[in-house]
Amino acid sequence: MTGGLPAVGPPRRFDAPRFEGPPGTAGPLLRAARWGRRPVVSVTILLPGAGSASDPEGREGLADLVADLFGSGTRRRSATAWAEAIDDRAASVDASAGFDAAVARLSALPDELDEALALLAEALLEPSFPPEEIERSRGRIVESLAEQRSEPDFLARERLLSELYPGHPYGRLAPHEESVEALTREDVVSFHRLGWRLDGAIVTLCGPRDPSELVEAAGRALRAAPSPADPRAVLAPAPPGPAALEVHVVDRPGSVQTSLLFGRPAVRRSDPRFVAATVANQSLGGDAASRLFTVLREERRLTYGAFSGLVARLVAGHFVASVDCRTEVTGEAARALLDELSRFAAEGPTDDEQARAKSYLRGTFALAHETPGALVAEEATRVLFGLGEDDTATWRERVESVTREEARETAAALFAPDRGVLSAVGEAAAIVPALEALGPVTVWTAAGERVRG
Amino acid sequence: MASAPIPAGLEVPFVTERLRNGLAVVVAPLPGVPVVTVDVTYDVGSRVEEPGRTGLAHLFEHLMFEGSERVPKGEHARLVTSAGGVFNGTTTEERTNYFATLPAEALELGLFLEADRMRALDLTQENLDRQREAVKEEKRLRIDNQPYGLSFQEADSLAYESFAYRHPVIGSMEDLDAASLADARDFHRRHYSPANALLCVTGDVEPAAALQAVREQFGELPARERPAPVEVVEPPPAGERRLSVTDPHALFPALHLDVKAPPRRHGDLLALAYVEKVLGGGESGRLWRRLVKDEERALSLSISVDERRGPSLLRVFAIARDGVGLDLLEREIREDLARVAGDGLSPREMERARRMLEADAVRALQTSQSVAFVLSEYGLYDGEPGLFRDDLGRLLSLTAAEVRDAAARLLRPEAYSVVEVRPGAEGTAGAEA
Repeated sequence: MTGGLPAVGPPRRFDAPRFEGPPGTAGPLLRAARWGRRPVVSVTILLPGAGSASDPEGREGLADLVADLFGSGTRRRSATAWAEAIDDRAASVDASAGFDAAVARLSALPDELDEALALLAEALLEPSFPPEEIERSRGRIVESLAEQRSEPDFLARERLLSELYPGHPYGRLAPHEESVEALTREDVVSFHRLGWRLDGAIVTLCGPRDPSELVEAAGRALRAAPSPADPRAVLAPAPPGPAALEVHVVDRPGSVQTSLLFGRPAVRRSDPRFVAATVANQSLGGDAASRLFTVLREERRLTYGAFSGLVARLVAGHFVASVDCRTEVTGEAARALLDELSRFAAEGPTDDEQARAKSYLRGTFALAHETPGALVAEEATRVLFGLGEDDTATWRERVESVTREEARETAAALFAPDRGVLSAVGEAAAIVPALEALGPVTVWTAAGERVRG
Repeated sequence: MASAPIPAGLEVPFVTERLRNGLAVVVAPLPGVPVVTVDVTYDVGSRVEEPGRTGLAHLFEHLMFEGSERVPKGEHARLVTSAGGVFNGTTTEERTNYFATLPAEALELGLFLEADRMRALDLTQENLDRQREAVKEEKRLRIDNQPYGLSFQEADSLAYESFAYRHPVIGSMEDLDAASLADARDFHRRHYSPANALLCVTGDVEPAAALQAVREQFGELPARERPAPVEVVEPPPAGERRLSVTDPHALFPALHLDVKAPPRRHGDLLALAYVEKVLGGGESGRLWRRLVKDEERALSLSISVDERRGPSLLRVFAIARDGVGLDLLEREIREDLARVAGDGLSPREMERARRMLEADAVRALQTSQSVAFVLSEYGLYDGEPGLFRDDLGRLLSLTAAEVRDAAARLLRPEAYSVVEVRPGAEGTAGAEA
């Protein structure tokens, strides 16, 4: 308890472990790095043709169904036998479909890596798709969708995306039940053949082992069979999104709170403005010292938390800001959120905010690279988004080079609420009158039926 | 029980010191990435709360971010994030912790912030009112407005006799409204003393230098009396308990089946970790596989061990598939528990669970923050951070016979409490003890 505020010393040098691998030819792109405090190897496999953006029209939900069937029976083993084999090796595996790609993840102890990779490859390349497993998975997905539509944050995101990206795959957070029910085994087999293939796949590995050993282990397990050409269309650019502010309410009777989500089109991940947008967003709503949290929670006591962020995908992206508030103050909280966004878009960050945002983003760089799991995820998405090899290594310099004026210009272009969508989930009868002051309101049911507007 | 050798790669060297004011200090160097976690855990959780004063421990966690003598309001968050750090606090039944993970060069800043609020927190009526509202919004967000949110509180109230564990950590709206500034000041004086806390520093630090920095920031804090320890002791379970509730946000019926179990570190509780893995762990957990994947009885099913210093719980929570009755779901769960109690686990299941538990331990020690949490728990509750390795050795050396015997002792219907959750307007449909 001596003295005042201690000075923070000069930053210690830290270079994120570098990934290396053979040049990509046919087959998967393999990249590995050596790092890890503990004997664990993390593996990420990204399959760019197997995300929900690749769902054929009228077959929405197919990517989710195929990912859900991962490990549900292979040409060599039943679903149960495969699961037991994974657990016998104490490996941890999961697969899921995102928008731009499907992902399979593995975490294994180094002495079990070869066998765990072989099991992963078996599930990935040799699924048998037993009809009864497809039937069960389909039923489970349909009921899970219904369950998710009882959760306020899911409903808020679903409505937001659907209004921001009308008619585009990015506008579909989840499929509708009828679409999933119509999916057949033929659909599954065909989607798997085109999307779950090793040519074009991105495989990243990291653990306390020599990178060349890791690459060799993955190469042994993941031998590419010849794949047919993928005739599917490349993902179309996203539509421009709303030209003005639209308000959409999802009625959730019995709610004691309103979940408010504002969104508007922003930038795709490879856009050069992404760095300036990240710096600007940090000042606005990136953490609990940012402006939205300070004003809406600490000064105005309207909410438990208020944050904003960037969602940046392959062909488009959006900016999003969120507040949850009690039903009675919904109008006030929505107005306050939009006012703060307008002010920030007009004025940009203050000098102090800009300095804090940059030092936060630089300073958390080491923390973001503490585990092999974090490293493999970052490297795989870097490749997926077509970012340069030095993207990670130069991140801190690029953050540092963003000027306050650039942050302001980016905020004006990407965060202003003059256009976009305000999605509100709560007791419609109680909140619609208050939200009408912001603009015309459209009201929806949780199942997605328009009931007003 | 004999101890097995600890798997390689789980070494966590550390040094300890107790300052003259009673503060326990643990420093664990973890080189490789230049970050440091500063974690202060106070021996105060909702278990110390009395009727009419619920939610105070958690409300207090919020008040700790409101400023202190040399750290104006709002500055804590600004200073930590400006240095490139992240921070949070959490409250459980057992303890409240405050942690920041920062670049290693900001160690002194992290220590300064914790020392200042331990010594001289700025408690004002305005701060209390502001955080009371934030907590009420948090309760609405996480519990009141979520499907099944309130049912977990009902399940705890049913399972426990003692008020310490019967009431929810977040407290009730009435008690939050009633909390006064005098209550808050009294709470800080009683529970936020150096002797009632443990400071853990993990990361890319040199132990001697880190200890010196700790002494400089915390050494002159005045000693205060440590509050009398709270023991949560309950009579042995004397019969099954049941409750039926309705949930306006739930779409499908759901079931909680909780089994009263011994305190953390008890040999029988370690044995339950095997049961948890075999029934609900990994890809192959047999109860999960059967009810969720194969027989389509449940939309989801989770099994977990809620470890406490007083009686713990083995928790089973399942959401029924559309059209599946809760009676059927319950029967299936009970049958599998009875099977484990009667037959134990097969040699192959034992070996599989052992490997999974070993791998879990490896994964749980990967970050400076997770290492700090493990050392803090053992350091604060047991006075010896290194006991985590002993327990891991005890866990990994359990035999099939020991697990079977423990299961036979614990998995008895008289230790069960069952909450049926049905969709519908809010309220309790009926209860029987």
